Amino acid sequence: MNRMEFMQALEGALYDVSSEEKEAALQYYNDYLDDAGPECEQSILREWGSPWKLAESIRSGMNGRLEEGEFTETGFSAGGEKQCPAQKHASFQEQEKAQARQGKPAKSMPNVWKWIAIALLCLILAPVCIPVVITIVILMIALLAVVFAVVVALLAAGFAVLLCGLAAVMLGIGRIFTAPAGAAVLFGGGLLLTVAGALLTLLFGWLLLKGGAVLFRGAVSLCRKPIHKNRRGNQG
Amino acid sequence: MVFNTGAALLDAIVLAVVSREAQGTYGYKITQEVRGAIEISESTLYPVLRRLQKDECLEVYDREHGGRNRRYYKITEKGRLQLNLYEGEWSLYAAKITGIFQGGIRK
Repeated sequence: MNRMEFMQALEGALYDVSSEEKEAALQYYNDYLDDAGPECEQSILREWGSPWKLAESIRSGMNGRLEEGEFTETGFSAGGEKQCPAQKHASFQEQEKAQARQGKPAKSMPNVWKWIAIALLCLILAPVCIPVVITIVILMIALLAVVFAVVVALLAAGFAVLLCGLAAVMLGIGRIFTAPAGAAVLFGGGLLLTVAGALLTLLFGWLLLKGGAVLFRGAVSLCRKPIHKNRRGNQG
Repeated sequence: MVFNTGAALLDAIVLAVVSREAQGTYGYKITQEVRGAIEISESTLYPVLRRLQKDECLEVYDREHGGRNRRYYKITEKGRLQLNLYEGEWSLYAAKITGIFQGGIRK
């Protein structure tokens, strides 16, 4: 925008100003450019900014609104719209401080979201997860019961073999005079069976006790795990 | 500059600059001289000069210069009184601020 265009636009922008005021303003700014010389013309026009902005500052002077604002190195600012660099700097520092103060809550925000997300996920998956978990637990209990039953059954079988062996020995002893040969077979077989039954009983009894102890210890440690963890967490 | 210049201080500076020229001075020159003290834009002074003129602290007249009429500003008697008031206030103000800066003199 050259000088002529600028002045025409300024005149247009001062449409609502009395002709006396308009002429005074145009005279002043024309004088100003004349006195500055043509070599400074462009830089001054640039500093004036837009004709409409300049018209606004002319109007503000006319209406006696100057008391409401303040002249700063950047020009007139109405009612503290603009801030000087020092104030900007101060407010920037304030913002930084405020951010520093808000640092902790800001950091904990993702944590909160994480927990909300987990809670939502639990809520959504609950209808699926709960039956599945229950099924797994029941299956494990059933498996344990089966193993236990098998071991108990084998123990009982072993005990039965032991009893049979003892009974055979008794029968053998009873028939030692009526049928010595059969009695000897019964007696020998009975002894073997008794020993085998005793071994089986001992083996499965030991297995049952050992397995029971392992299971018990496992269950106890499983229950104590969270408590242990918490205690370690508190110590750390 | 880190310190803002209030409207009253700007009035005082402009009146002081204009009062130094017995024959009066013109807008561009006033602006350049004020800029020697505080940072103002090329367009800041017109509303100030216009208001001081309306308040009858300044008067204007046109004088031929280089084949055209140039508008001159000259301080009035009222303007001179106003300037005296400003100078007195400034001395007090500046002394107080300097006192605080140089060791907190309390009266």
